[in-house]
Amino acid sequence: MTIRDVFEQLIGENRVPSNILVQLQQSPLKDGWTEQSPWYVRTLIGVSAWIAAILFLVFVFSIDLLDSEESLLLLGMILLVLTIVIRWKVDQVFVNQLMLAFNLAGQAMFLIGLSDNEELTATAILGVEIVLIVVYRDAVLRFLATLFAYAAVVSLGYMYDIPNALHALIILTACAVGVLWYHEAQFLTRKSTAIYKSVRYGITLALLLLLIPSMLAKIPVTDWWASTCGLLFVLLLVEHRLLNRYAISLSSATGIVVMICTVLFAGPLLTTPGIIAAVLVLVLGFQRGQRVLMGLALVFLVVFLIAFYYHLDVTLLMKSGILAISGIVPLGMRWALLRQFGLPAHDTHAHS
Amino acid sequence: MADPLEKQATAIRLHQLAQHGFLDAPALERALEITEVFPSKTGWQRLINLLLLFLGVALVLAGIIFFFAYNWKAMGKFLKFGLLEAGILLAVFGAWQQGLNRASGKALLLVAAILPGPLMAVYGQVYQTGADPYELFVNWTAFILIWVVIGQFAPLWLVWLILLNTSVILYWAQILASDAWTWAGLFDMLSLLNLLTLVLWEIFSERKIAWMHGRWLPRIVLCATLVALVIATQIAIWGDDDPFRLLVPFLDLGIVGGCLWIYQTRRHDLFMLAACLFSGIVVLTTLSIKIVGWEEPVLYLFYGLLVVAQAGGAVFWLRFIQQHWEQRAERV
Repeated sequence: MTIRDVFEQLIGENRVPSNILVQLQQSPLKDGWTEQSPWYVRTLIGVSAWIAAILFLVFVFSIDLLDSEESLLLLGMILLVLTIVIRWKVDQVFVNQLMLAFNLAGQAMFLIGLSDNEELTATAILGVEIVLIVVYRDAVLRFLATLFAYAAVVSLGYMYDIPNALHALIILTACAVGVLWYHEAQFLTRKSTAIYKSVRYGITLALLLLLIPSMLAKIPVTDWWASTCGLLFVLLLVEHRLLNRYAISLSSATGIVVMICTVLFAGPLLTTPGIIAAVLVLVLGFQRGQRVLMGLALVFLVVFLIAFYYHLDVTLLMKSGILAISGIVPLGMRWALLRQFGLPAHDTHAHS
Repeated sequence: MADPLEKQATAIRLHQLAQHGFLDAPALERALEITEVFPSKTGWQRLINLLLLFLGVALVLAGIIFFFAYNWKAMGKFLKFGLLEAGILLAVFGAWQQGLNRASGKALLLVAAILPGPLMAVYGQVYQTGADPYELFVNWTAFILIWVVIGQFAPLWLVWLILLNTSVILYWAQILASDAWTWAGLFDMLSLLNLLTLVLWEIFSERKIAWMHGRWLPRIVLCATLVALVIATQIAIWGDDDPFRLLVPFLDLGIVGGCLWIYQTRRHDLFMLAACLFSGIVVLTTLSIKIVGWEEPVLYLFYGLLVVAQAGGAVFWLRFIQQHWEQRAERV
């Protein structure tokens, strides 16, 4: 389907002005449409910038000029300001790459320069990352800055001896993920779109990374059921909105089955909220046609599932039984869905 | 110049139009529905169907493996053989009964392809045949080849390729004398083996065979080829007196150069180009460090700038290629 076809249909449905095609033909946009760089190109940019930043830092630490924390702090701040200003004025591939590397190196120097006072460091880093998200015109850095900001917040939680505040952060982040992806259209039509497009991926990845401690032993965070309940609530809310979109009532057989199956699925997972989060991201990614999001969700889903069964404090025999039952349940659900809801009896070709 | 409004209405282009004010939020949502970016009810049913199937199969298989792990010592040899062989037979029968054109049939064939490995391990353990581990993987690889061919299922091919690579690694490490058959030689061999696989895949996929149209498997294979090549190159750069070092420059230029040409001109795939360029950056940077040295602090600044320049050049070229393909597609 071409752009013209889509707009002609929208004109027919009175969703856009009837002269929109003329406006499009006269717009400079039609000559300058650029495809967004795919995720692997942005990964190439990010990884290369990291390597370059590390090499710059090795250089800085190798020379005797900067032998105090104050000088590192000063140089870090200079680099941060310089890169923001240059990046604001210049948009050229080589300059962008260089500024990204210098900015990362500057952040590292800033962090090391402040490292005496941990609370001040974490707070300052949080502030710096928020400023960078707003003013630094680079998708890769905004994405990284989002992750660094989360790291700073988590660090503050540990420093102020409130590790269980992580659950509140997880639930708030899950709500943000739901809003940012479900209401994508609203955000894409605002002026802050450039920030939104980078930050949404950062926040989504942060949500999944925040749940990694749930797989680890000897972590001060307890009561992971709190995160599970919060995530389950967000997932049910998203499912409710999706059912409405497809005109499926919550009181219908499909609606009831979806809600009950979700709750039953989450029941045994009270101590492994990561699985619920991965399913939430998978559902949102599939709904929005975002393959990168789906891939990310599937990778974390596998990791969290493996961790769940690995950490079960039972014998191998019981684990084998739990695994087998855990496998029979979804197969049984699939059989029931095929029989009861008129799903195609034959799968479509399972092409890779 | 082709009418730009005749371009395909992709999600990214619709998002750009929305950003520039040609679509408000409700119109954008409707446009994404029209272009089927959003899945239909059938799409959701298909996703749930596949997820439940593969999750169920994976968990049941894991349960079986854990059961064997628990009961291993207590089980008699015939029980061990019987259970594994029964599992293979049931899986094969189930795959035949479901049909290989269905996801369930393919999943069962995948199960059938995995179980011979433990069966051969049990055989070797029970009868103390003295076989080397590489023989298990070689036999496993050979045994399931016919199923892999008739399965027409890319994940099954991935399993088979992993077994093939493992067989080569174990054979090289355990059997070949390490003086003559070095690690550089092993990784040279692996890069050539995976390259051959990639070439064969691309040749056959050009015949528009439906199950081969996905790009994820050839991309994984290319990544495996490049990883092996980069490791071989690092050994060649930093190692001494390795006879296989001499092959490395030819492999680097041949494989990377060939892939860059083919995926730029014949088979447009930006991921492949990006992967080749990234491996090139790693090799060139390492080579520079070896030649120029690393004792002077200022050299680290130089290497950092070198990485930035290479990455910037790579990104610039990739974006140029992507725009060039776009313009060519419009002219067609």
